[in-house]
Amino acid sequence: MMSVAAPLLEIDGLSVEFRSREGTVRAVDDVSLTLNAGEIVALVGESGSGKSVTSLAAMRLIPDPPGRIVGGRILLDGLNLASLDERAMRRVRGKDMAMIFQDPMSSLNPVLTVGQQIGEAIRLHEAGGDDAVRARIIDMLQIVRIPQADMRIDQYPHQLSGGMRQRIMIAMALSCRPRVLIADEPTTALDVTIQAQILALLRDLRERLGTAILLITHDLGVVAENADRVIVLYGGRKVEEAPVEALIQNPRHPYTRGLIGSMPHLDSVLTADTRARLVEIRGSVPPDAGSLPGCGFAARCDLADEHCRAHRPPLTEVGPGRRSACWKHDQLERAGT
Amino acid sequence: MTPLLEVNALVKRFAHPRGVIERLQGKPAGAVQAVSGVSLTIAANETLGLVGESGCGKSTVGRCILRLERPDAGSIRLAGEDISQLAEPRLRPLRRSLQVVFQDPYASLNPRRTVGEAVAEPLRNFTALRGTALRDEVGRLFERVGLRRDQLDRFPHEFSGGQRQRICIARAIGPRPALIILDEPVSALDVSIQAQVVNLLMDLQEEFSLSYLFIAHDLAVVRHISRRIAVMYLGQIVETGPRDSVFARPRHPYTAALLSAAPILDPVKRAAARRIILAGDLPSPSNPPSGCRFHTRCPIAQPVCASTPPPEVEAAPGHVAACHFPL
Repeated sequence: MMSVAAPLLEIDGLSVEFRSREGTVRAVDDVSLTLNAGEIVALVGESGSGKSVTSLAAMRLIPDPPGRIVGGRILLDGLNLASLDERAMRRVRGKDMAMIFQDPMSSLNPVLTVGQQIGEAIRLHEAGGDDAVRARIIDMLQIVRIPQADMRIDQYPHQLSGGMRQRIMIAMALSCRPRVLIADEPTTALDVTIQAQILALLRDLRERLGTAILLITHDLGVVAENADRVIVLYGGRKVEEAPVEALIQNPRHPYTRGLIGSMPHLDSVLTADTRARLVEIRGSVPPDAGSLPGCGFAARCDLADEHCRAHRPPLTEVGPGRRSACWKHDQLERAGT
Repeated sequence: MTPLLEVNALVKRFAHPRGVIERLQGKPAGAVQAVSGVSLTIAANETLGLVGESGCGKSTVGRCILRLERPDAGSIRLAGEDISQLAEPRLRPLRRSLQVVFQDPYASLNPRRTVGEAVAEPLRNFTALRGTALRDEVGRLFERVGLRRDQLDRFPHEFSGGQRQRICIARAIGPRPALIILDEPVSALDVSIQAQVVNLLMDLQEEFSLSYLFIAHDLAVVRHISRRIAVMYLGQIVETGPRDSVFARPRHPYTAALLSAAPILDPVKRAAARRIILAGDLPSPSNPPSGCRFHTRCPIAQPVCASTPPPEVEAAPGHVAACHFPL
């Protein structure tokens, strides 16, 4: 077992900037997170929150230029990935840490069979003859529950359904048994019944292989059912961090509270023949939220005052394993539930 | 009372393109039956939620009603008149009362024209408004959907996804239609923006007495906005009924599975929920399963389901399921 003190993956004070003709944008500003072995941590936020940039930075996949990691460390089992050169990083990617993306069709090569694509990582990182590799690939296909694996291995991506392609992506990512899997919106492009299958598969892989999963999503429903801990990003900054039940039942940042309120639930009470209005978060994310002097959410927040707009709220411990970056977090504390 | 829209036994087939090799082999051109006998009605001022997974044909139903596609069989009556086979010149005046908002607000606006022009176009086509009066009306529409009059002369790229969807909504309500087809209008938007747009749509419905066909895959959103629900699977409606009746007690196993697949936030309710995870993928619509089309994935299928198409069973008033063994 890992000791409590040393997380498997630790992102510490990560900042990422993108430069363009119009100037520099800070997409991720001082974001820290930890991921322990066998844990599922969700990184939640809307478009522009910096969640995907954070995960790409962890894999060192930010194109430079225009992007650049301008601060922070990315420690995988103590090794700082932020300072590795590309050659050393290539040995980590796929082997120790792998990633799956939202759109499996654009992440798969249309002119290679699924077997060739899954085999690539295995051949790159491990020795073994053709027969051994083929057996490994079939094994991987069975792990991700692809029926008739010995037939599917020689098929091309276009011959597979969307859910099946995402399984292939997962098989590719897991082919070298990485300890960390970064899943960036893995089910967003899929239908609900297929989404349920894929999420059940990820949970099962965590159980069986002990893979730690960083789950990037905008869907709090997916978070509630799959994550152990949650980190909420807004405008490139971490605004809240909590164990999943605590976050859903008693959010301590107005943005998280708004996100939960604005989600239509299947189990919310609607009176017969009237339709309940959804709670809105007014306005939209300001493009410069990450470089404002005060709280990035202040412009959309009902609780915000002058102090919020002028001073950036620090991440404050608000409970066991809980942090919130809000000057008024104590006003959000709810009794009960 | 005649409903505003009455679709009866609608069928739409698409020819399956043959590849070079298939043509050389002399294989016959196949056809995908995207919609196989869909019937539905929408009353004035009502919202019907049309739910289903990708490829089930729900968007094709919407496109047939808009007459962006010509149906192969069946009728589409708008205020009593069958529009299913009308030729383009006779369709034109009808387009005033039939508007649409699509999923992708990036693809539905011409990037080279100002957003004011986009909203003005249907008004110019269907009303006598010109010049300042036209501009005034466009300004009013902008304000009504939560945008500012001074944004009229800007281009689509200057707006966020949520704002663009507001522009598309302003364009749709401009000619005062009776029915708007909303094809996944909020699924490309962030959650907080989604709530704004859903609320706006509900307000506009009240204000302008609109009817909506709300096409979506997200059951929770559909539940919020619809009065009645129709669930589609592989080109057919498998269950339809009043919203509360369908959500409280789905009768078709597919509806039950869809509902149970949606994530639940509340841990207590989640612990109590029975989760049905369907095996397998959606079968190909070019070769749908025999009998009940859902039998290949159905957790309670019996031999009869594979051989005989299921009867329509009215399980509660207005609540119909096409199933041999309704729940």
